[in-house]
Amino acid sequence: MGKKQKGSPVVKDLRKPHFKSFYYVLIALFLLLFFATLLLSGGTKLTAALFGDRVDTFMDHYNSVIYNEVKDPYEILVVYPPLASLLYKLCNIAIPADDYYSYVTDPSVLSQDRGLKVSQSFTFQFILYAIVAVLIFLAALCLLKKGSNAEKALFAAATLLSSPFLYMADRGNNVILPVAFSMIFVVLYNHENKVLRELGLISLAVAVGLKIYPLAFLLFFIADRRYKDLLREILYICVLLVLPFFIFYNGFSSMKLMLKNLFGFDAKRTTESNLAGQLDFKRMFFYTYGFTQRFTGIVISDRMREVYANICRYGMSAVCALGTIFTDKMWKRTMLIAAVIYGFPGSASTYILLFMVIPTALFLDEEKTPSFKNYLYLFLIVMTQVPIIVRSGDGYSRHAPTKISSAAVGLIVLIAFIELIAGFAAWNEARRKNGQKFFRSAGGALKAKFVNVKSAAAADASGAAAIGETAEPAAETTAETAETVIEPAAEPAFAAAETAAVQAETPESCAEGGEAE
Amino acid sequence: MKLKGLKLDPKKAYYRQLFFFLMTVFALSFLGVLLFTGGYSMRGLLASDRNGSFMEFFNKLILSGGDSYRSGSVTAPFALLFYRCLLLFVPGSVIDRYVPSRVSSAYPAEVKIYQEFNFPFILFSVIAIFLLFFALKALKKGSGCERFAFIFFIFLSSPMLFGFERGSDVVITVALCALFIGGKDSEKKIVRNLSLAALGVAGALAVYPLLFCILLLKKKRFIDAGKVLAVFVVLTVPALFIVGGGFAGAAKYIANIIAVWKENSLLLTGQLNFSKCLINLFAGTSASNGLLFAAGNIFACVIGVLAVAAAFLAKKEWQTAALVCGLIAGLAPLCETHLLAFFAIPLAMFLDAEDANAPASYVTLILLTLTQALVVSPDAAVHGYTRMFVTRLTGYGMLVLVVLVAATAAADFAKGLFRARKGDAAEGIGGKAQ
Repeated sequence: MGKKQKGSPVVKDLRKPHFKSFYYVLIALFLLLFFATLLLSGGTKLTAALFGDRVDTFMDHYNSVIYNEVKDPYEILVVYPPLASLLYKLCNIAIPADDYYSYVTDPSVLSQDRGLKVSQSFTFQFILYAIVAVLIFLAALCLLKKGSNAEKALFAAATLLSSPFLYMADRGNNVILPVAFSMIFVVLYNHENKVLRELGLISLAVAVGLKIYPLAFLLFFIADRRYKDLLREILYICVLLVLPFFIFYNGFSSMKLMLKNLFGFDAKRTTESNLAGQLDFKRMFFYTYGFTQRFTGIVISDRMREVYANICRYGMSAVCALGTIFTDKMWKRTMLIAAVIYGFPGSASTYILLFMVIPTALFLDEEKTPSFKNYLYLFLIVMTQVPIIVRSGDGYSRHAPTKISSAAVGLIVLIAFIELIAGFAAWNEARRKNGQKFFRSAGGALKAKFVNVKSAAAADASGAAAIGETAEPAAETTAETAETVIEPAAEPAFAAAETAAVQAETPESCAEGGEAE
Repeated sequence: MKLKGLKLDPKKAYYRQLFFFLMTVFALSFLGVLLFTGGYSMRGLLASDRNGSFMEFFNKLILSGGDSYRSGSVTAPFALLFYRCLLLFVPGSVIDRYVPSRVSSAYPAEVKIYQEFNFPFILFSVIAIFLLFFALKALKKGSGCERFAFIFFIFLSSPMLFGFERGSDVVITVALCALFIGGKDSEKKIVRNLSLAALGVAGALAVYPLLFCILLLKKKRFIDAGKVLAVFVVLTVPALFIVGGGFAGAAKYIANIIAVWKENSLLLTGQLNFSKCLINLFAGTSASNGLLFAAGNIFACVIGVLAVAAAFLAKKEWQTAALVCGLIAGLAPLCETHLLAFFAIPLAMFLDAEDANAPASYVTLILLTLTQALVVSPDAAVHGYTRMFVTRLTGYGMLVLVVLVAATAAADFAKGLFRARKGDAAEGIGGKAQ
């Protein structure tokens, strides 16, 4: 520690983390490029950034509000959970009946008259909804993002001008609320105050009640072995997701209908012929296959393609789940959860990428290790957020930009997969050195993982941690950098390295102690 | 068992509690009534043009593409330039298809259907909401919860909702003025200069925010006031030549404002400014329109002069800010409800600064709250909801507020003067005795 190594100031400087500068410069560049391209094209290239239907702006909101005129909206193919439907029902009530029926003849029609956007009666409830939603979102963002007020404002500006946000605003989609409540959950998840922690659990239940996808955050509880919290969370989710079916709708019948609609929607979207927009995990396979087939000529039968695509979908989701469980870094966990939220459902849409705001904020605040891998992760996260205008074929459509953001998510999962494999190999190597049997050591290691022992120091000593953020900086950083980089040794990327070190020192006792958490 | 929490301390002021309680009650009752009446009560809050949502934005947007001042626009040159920049996002072919004539001051509401027009609106809304959120956050002191609650209630206040529904840029102007107040006394030079620039931009967008310079002038910060004016000029003059048609455009712009003032002076259906407060009292009498017009304007001038004098005399900053906001809304040729949004600024300053327990302060707080409160009332004349009662309530409320604050400021000043004289006299006697 005490000795300072000589080196060029540039090299020394590069050893410090510059994630914030990297992030804000990238965002600024992409935004400049986006707006400059739009302005220079006289707005004609807007087609590359927004939804294809030119008269459908805000209609996700208006359509959903109109559907809720009928007693059981699940009979008309609604896929929103009941809490979201109730929210739309309230908006529906706020529309004067005479105006409503002057535009709507049949509430069950999938796409309603776009002319209703002209009427004040329809716009007022949308204004109320939008203001409340954006306020909750901005408040949650300010809670999540640390740093000065100016930095918070800068980050908020980057988020509000991000591709997922602009797309969400154009659609009038309600994903902003689940994202906001997920942020509140992440902020309060490890809070010292019990009441606030409980509020965090309720926030997640609200998020799930509005959009279902945030269910993936339950992996947090499994990863941290907080089973009591998990049970309470499930209880809250039942209250907000299941109970409304029985109070406001037709109970099991509505529930069945919603699930049927949801699966039907999913099956309809995840087909090989539907590759124009954003790609979920399944369609990532179809797209990659189609792309490689052109060059290699390899042909796979329809049936096998479907099988491989499903393997891809479940495999990638499993990687995200395992990655979430085996990492202690919150930004990485939330990044993988955001990836699975985006990639697993068939409804992968640009606005779902708004969930990536959570890992971005956490990354910028927490990550201190300036490794290539971390820069790569940050770059890929940025690529899911920035609005890009790229020529697709003959004109400007969302085809190419959506492929870029989809590829970014795919690469994130791929790197996580490589990390998992490397972490597993390192852990296995340590186990072999200690002469422990696979299952026993694996169980012990996993249990020991959450005991706060001198894992970091042990990891350094054993040198077993070949992957993740634990070993890299410890081995390479100069004394000066090590002073700046305070946390890396205490927060290994994937627990394998950590657990190996834990075993080396306290193999059995920690396994018991792990329960205390 | 004693409920200590419910015991009121006579020495302690409960302004915050009162404000949040009142705003909660107003907001909940508004939402309750809205749902109970099946949405009809919204007509007691919003403009009477049922197809006019966001049209202030779209009209200005489209108008900025043509000869705006010849079309009767009263938008400041820099604001026109701002809209012209947003219009660049709309393909020319789309504009030609949907609004072939660009010489009108009002365009078909159907433009709201198309994505090409909605994209600039989304950008505008994002900028407005972002600015207002962080400006109010910078303005309001106190705990995080208190700040968020304040921001929440201001966003959901009557003038803001009215402004959002019209698509008015007053939201941006209020945000910039709040940034000015929040940063003008900062220890950091850059923050101070940025806040001065914010006021300069607000002035360039709507002119009247320049009245906030009184806050600088009364503290003899003439250089700072000069900086604000410099920003205003730097933004306005080039904009005038780029989109406003130069000096001829400026003359037309002033003529348009005078025309709007004359046209609307006797129109009593909307929000009341100072002159309309008087005219409304005598509207049913045999007094001629000319007489009413003259009397109303004299009255507005008197109140205006008193308010300016009181703004300079006022000891407390929130009093000066409240008087400035009163001048902005009370002297506006076409006073719209969203101009009352400016009162959010003195309200925040009042809640943070005022700690002396005085009945006059409570009345002032109630009047300030009234400018923001979500109040709707039925109108028997139309068997439904109109803005008739609410616009009268807030109009006269604003007038009483300005008079009360001016009187308090004058009284405080007189007291100070009296004390100073008494002190001088005592010193004189003491000096003689010595």
